[in-house]
Amino acid sequence: MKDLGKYYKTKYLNLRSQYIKTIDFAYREGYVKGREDAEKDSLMQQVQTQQMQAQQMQGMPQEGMPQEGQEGAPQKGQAQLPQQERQPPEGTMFDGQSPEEIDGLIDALQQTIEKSEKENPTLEKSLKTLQSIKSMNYSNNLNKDGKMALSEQESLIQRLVSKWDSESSDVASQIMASVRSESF
Amino acid sequence: MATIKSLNPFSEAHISGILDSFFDQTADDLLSPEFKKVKYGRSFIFSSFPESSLPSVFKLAIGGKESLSHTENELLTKVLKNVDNYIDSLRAKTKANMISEIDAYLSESSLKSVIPKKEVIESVVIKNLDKAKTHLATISEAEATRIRNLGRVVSIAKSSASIGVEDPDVYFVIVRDGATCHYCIHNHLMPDKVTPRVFKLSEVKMSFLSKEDKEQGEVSCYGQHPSCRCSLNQLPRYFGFKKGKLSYTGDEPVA
Repeated sequence: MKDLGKYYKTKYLNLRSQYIKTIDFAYREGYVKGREDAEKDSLMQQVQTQQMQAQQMQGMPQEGMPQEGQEGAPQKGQAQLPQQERQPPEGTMFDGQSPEEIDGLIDALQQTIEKSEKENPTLEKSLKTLQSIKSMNYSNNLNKDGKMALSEQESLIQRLVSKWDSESSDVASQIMASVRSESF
Repeated sequence: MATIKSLNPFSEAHISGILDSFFDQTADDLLSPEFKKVKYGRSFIFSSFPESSLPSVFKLAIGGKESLSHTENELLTKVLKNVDNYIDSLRAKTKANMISEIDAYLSESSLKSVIPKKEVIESVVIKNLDKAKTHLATISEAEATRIRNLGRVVSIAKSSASIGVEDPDVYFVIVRDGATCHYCIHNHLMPDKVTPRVFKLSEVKMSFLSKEDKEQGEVSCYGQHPSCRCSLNQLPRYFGFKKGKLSYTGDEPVA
């Protein structure tokens, strides 16, 4: 009886994990498709707005400009991508985000993972990785601060010593004047 | 009967005044003019951090924040008061040495019935100012290293607390060039002289290291010597060193 219960529990857990996987996959697929559609829509909108603006500004096509159907002109139904969109994105994935923002995002992700399932080894590893990213983020900032502090220290000592060198001759001559007045 | 000639009290006071104002200016440059307000209780916080001063080194070491917390202010004030005391003692020592050496030369000249030479007195003054410069550079370097690494300790402690680590792992980043000292290499690196040694933050001393300490491999936030350029850094959690390079291990590092 006990074994039967165990068997059903295992079966239930397997089914549940398959269900979660399917839902997750469907969600991801839907999300990716939705995002692609949204990108296409926004691109089309941009192109339309640009064309409208160009027509408004010029009234009619100027001489020397390629006409529809000529070589070099965009074909009907083919979107002309803006120049910026064609270039690969520059910078790192953390660009434009403050360390606090990144920490906030990591915290939110950690909480979500912790809530969903604790004893899953894959999730545990993901949690560890998130924590390491967080501490790496701190560590990178700390390293940068350390380098800046070291260069500040070096410039402080240099400035102090050079100022001493330039002013000590004045001090020496003032002291000499004081001694001379009574001794020589 | 030969008379013993020495500096008269007015000259002594004058020399003393010249040295006082010179040392005051130097202390202002090093500690920032605002330190005086804090020292005499007119203010309790540092609101400005002039460039190339100890408060600015501290500010950069803790992450370049615009304002310091109460604890950070207290820590900075304490360290700066120490530096001020060192400068005061250097000032008193320089004054005493210079005046007593000039006095001695004047006395000797009067006993020998010769006219004191200007060049000799000038060399005494320059020698004492040069000595003071060397001591001042040593004090500044040692205390700047301390204040920089103390700032790092504060910053590391704070960041590690926020990710739930009580005693974080730290290591020293050394500056490698011809001037890197034997103790920095021996105590901050593993025997392969590439991989940094990893310590618990609690193992890092907060005081100067004696020769015996250095030989036993101790580390301190003062560094290994006054002009130590090694910087304290936090080892990120789940990271370690593989062939001298920082890499993800997925395990808690063993110090």
